Amino acid sequence: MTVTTLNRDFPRSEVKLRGLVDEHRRIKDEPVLLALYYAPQRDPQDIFLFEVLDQFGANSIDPDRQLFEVTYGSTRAFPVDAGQELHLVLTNPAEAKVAFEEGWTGAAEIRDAIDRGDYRVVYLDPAAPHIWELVRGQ
Amino acid sequence: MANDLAWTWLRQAGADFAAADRCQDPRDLTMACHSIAKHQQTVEKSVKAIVAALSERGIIRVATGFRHTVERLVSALVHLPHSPGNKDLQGRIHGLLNEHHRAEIDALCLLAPKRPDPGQLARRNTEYPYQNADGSWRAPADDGSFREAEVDRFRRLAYRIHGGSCRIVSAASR
Repeated sequence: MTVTTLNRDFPRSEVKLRGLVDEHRRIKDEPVLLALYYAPQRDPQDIFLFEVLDQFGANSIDPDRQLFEVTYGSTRAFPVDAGQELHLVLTNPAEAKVAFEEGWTGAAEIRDAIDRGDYRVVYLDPAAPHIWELVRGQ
Repeated sequence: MANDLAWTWLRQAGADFAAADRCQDPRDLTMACHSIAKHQQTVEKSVKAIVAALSERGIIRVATGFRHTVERLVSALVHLPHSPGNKDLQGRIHGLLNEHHRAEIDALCLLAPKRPDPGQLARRNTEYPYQNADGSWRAPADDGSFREAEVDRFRRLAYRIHGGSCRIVSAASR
């Protein structure tokens, strides 16, 4: 049985997120390989963006087996609704491989959203299709 | 007091910087490892001060507290949405954590001790014994482990990051 997302934001922030990802792509020392807008089952009012960045965290793997998640409130550059937050989940290719293979909590949540169809690929580096294959599990 | 935690991080970072200077002695390079280690601590605590200040203002929240490495926290700050050219708080952060400073922070963090990967040699660091290319062991305090130029290089970085963090936390307190 397919479970419909409870997320009330998805997919209306897509255009806004494209602007943010374009900004992130200008950070040359951590190139964006994949940016994915997705809707997990938690925090239904919030916006979730997952990015795989080459060199993020010096390409290290988190010893606690957790994807790095940072939450941003409303700013002039990226205003959000009252009570809404932007969740940015960041990883690097080596960590992504381990996270999705081992089914870390954050990775499972992303895979679950993909399985439900509650996602948009905002950016995929043409040279990194394997990253998207890894994330979606195919 | 506004940003009490952020200022506390900065006080400790300032004390680390002072300790690094006390360790620096061009005539005695056995102390260079201690000086560089303290500069690394200065940078790390300064970055954590910015995160604490932004947390207090509700701009940023890192879900799992202070366990993250400084490189990851820097990345979180750099990915903060901002308007290019705008001198607001986020613009100042992007200015301080520019590409050059980020590369220097990465280089400094590479000198923190880290467990070697299986089959790899123990890498040069400021605290634990490490291995030369031939597998022999060396202490960070041994003559030749670190050069005076490296101490000066990371002192410049720590000075700039600490000073910049003080200005950002001050701006965030207004």
